[in-house]
Amino acid sequence: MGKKCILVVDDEENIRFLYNEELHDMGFSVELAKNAAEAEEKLRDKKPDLIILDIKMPDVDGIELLNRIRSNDTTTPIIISSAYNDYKQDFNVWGAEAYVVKSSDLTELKGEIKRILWGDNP
Amino acid sequence: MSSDIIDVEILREIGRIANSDIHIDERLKVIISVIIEKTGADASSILLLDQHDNNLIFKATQGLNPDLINKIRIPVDKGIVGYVVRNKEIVALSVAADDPRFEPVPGIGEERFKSVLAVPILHKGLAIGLIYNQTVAEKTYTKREIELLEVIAEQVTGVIRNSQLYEKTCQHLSSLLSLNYFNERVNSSTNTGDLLNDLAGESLKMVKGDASVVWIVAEDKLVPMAHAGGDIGGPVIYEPIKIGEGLIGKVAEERKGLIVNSPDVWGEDMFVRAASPKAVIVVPLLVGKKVVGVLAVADKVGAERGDYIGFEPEELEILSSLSVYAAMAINRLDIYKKLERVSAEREKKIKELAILHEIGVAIQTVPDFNTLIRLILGCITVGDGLGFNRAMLFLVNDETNMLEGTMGLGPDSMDEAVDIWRSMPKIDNLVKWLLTHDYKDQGTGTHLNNLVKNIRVPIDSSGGILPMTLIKGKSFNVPDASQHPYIDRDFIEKIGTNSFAVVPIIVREQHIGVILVDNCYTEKEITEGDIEYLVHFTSYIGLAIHNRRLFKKLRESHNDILVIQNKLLRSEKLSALGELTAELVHELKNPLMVIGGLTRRIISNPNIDPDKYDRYNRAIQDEVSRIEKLLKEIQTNSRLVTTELAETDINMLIEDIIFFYEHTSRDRMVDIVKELSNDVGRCLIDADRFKQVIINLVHNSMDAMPGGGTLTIKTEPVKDDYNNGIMLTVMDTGTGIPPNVIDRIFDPFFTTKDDGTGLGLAMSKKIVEAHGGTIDYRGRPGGGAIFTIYIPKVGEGSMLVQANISSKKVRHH
Ligand SMILES: Nc1ncnc2c1ncn2[C@@H]1O[C@H](COP(=O)(O)OP(=O)(O)OP(=O)(O)O)[C@@H](O)[C@H]1O
Ligand SMILES: [Mg+2]
Repeated sequence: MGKKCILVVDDEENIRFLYNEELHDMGFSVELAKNAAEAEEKLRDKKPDLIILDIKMPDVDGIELLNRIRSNDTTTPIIISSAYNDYKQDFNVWGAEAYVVKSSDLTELKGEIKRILWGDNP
Repeated sequence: MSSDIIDVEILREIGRIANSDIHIDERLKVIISVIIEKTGADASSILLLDQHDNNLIFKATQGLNPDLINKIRIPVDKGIVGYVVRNKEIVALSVAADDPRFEPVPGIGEERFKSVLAVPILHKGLAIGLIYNQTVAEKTYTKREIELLEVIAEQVTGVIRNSQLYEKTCQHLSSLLSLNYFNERVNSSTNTGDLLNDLAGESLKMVKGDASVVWIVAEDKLVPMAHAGGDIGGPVIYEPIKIGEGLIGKVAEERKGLIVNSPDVWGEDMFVRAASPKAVIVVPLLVGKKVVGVLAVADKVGAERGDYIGFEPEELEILSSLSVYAAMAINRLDIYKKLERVSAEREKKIKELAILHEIGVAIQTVPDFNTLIRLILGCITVGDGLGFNRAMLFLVNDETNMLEGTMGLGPDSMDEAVDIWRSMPKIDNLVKWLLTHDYKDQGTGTHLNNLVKNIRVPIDSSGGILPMTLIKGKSFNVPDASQHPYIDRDFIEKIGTNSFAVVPIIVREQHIGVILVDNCYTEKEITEGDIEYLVHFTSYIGLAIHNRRLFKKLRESHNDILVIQNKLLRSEKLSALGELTAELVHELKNPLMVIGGLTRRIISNPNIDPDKYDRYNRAIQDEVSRIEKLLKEIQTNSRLVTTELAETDINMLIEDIIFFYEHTSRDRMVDIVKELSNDVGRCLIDADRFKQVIINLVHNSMDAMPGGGTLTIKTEPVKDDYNNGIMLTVMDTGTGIPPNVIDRIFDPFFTTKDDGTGLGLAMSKKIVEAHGGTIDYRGRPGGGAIFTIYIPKVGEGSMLVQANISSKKVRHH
């Protein structure tokens, strides 16, 4: 069985870089996308096992992208990762599996990834 | 800057526009430019529905032909614009021309656009117009873009409502002022011709009509006596009109005013045929139920000359009020003339007329209702006035539909009566005497007053003579009450007299109450002349009451506006804050995540590859400088305060604000004193923002004077070797600020109020400083606060102006 693949969608380069480093260390293969168009392309070509999605992006934002993904793919799990606290209670309405507020401490995010992909209890 | 923040910014900007006092057309124009700038549409227009003819009118546009503003009318059953309004539905089309609903309007330049987004503007569930966005390139609208335009449309509703309310109130307030002014003039005029010309002219001004005509009743005909404004009709309308005939005659017969916004239905009418008005208001001139004439105003002038719009019910109301004053004056002059012939009575009647005049003036100046009523009853009972022994007033209570005793005035016994008459001094000015004289000291009327106040009767035939007077709308002179069909023994015993007269008080068909008078001590017979005069008198009482109600209503709607304004101000403060924090959070959290996350990796990986190490360090440095840049920007406030500088007359700005607070300050017993120097000249400031500063200070001062006080606003020029500017001082006699909190009042969120945001002074400081000025506090000797603002005068091209222009560019990328 090959490595599980995670797609990271964020408009900020350094953030993508940080995710890439951390997720590689966890043993995943990582795909990066800086906007909705890139994300949709990678989604089609790479069939990731999990998507990490930022909300605030220019043009098409994370919520809109999530809507688009969910309109023809209801299974690939999605974690929203955002600087905002305010939307936290809405994530399952939008069809995401988890909502993590951005922080330099990535423990919570990693915990959610493990829970979703490996069935770990955090 | 990404989309969330832009959204908040748009709403905030539109909120600001809604709150500014520029004309509605201008506001819509500004909103359109915001939409264009922020949504990336190539053309954006606002169309509003004209309810009179169901056409959509272009009110503002950018991108389409601007010459069509207020000109082209699109029937609501046409095109996409019509569809949106009819169905209250949003339409978003990538290729509009492919849609069967699309019907390009010729001449507006629509052909070059491909995609369309149209959103209805809704008010109380009705579509009152739409926002119509177009782009040249083909475009698929996202859900988010559609939602944004929807929210903007909601804001536009607010703008429209707010400005309609504002314009209406302003108009009504000024109408009321001219009404009072008119009343003063008619009370002193002794010439019917002048009076009628005045009436014709004044009525035109009040409802912005084009022409007006006044007819006076002579036997069964209406004779045109005066006209004003445009050339209305040919000689034919100068022929008398029979009462009951045509539009004008009908109004006289039915004694009810009306608005006709499409007079062609009266095609056979002489007046309509001759004058062919587009719209007309006709009101009867009534004294009680007697018609003395008719007033008609035709053709309301719309925004453009030659563009006529319909009249509104409020305007009928205003003209009806005007007509009451006029009718009374006409009637009075009528009596005057009749009396001149009867020279024997002449002197006495002239005196009575003088009293009437004084009462007319008193109605406008006496502040409280009870004093006014006592004054009027006083005139009825005091020997130099009408000279009745006693007077009793009963008013209609609309809620219970009962006539309720309100006041009784007169001696309680024969002895008391004799006492009073004996000690009564010679009175020069009756009204003045009555106003300064306290009846209670004389021990008069306490019993009678209580007795009257305990009388309540239903307004139907079971209630006896009092309600019947009102229902029949005529006076009863009752020399022998025991023989009268409407009067039972109980009533006679209660009021303690067998002969009296009852007179109705009716203003414009509105039943207000009745007055009962008697001569129970002198037993002097009540003559028809006495009653005619009393009827006259009562119309003043009715008017006083009616006027007070009208005024109260206007004041309420004026207060509505203040409440809305305050809400807008508050929500703007909060949204400025919300915007700032949301933006800050986002812009700080991302770099911190990178810095913190990479640092952690370095710490937990001592043997990190040198290339990686470099890469990490570069990323960290990037993010640190990003934060530094952000903080610097916040420090210079360019994000919180945008400034739109314009030459402004600060004194005018203050006058405008104070005008708005006149009623509030009166209610709160705050005297506003203006000391505005004529030498301050104009200066370059952002008037909207500066207004907020002054409003904040005025609010704070009002809050600090819960029991009333004095608020002084002062401007003065400051010019010496170092300064050239304006000093603005706001001083109150309120609680002042305790020394231990003075240091904190300009801090954001510092408040001592339950419902305060604590942002008022903080924002004010930022705004003043953005103008290169200073704001300071000092205590007022003797208690209270003094805030002083110094603004330097800057010319075009100065550092401040430059700085503001460049900071604006940064903001709008
Ligand atoms: N004229 C004044 N007299 C007495 N105290 C004042 C006066 N002006 C301001 N203060 C004090 O300064 C505080 C801060 O004022 P500021 O205008 O910043 O906020 P606020 O008035 O409390 O709230 P908001 O402006 O949102 O209603 C007030 O709560 C009040 O204690
Ligand atoms: Mg305040």
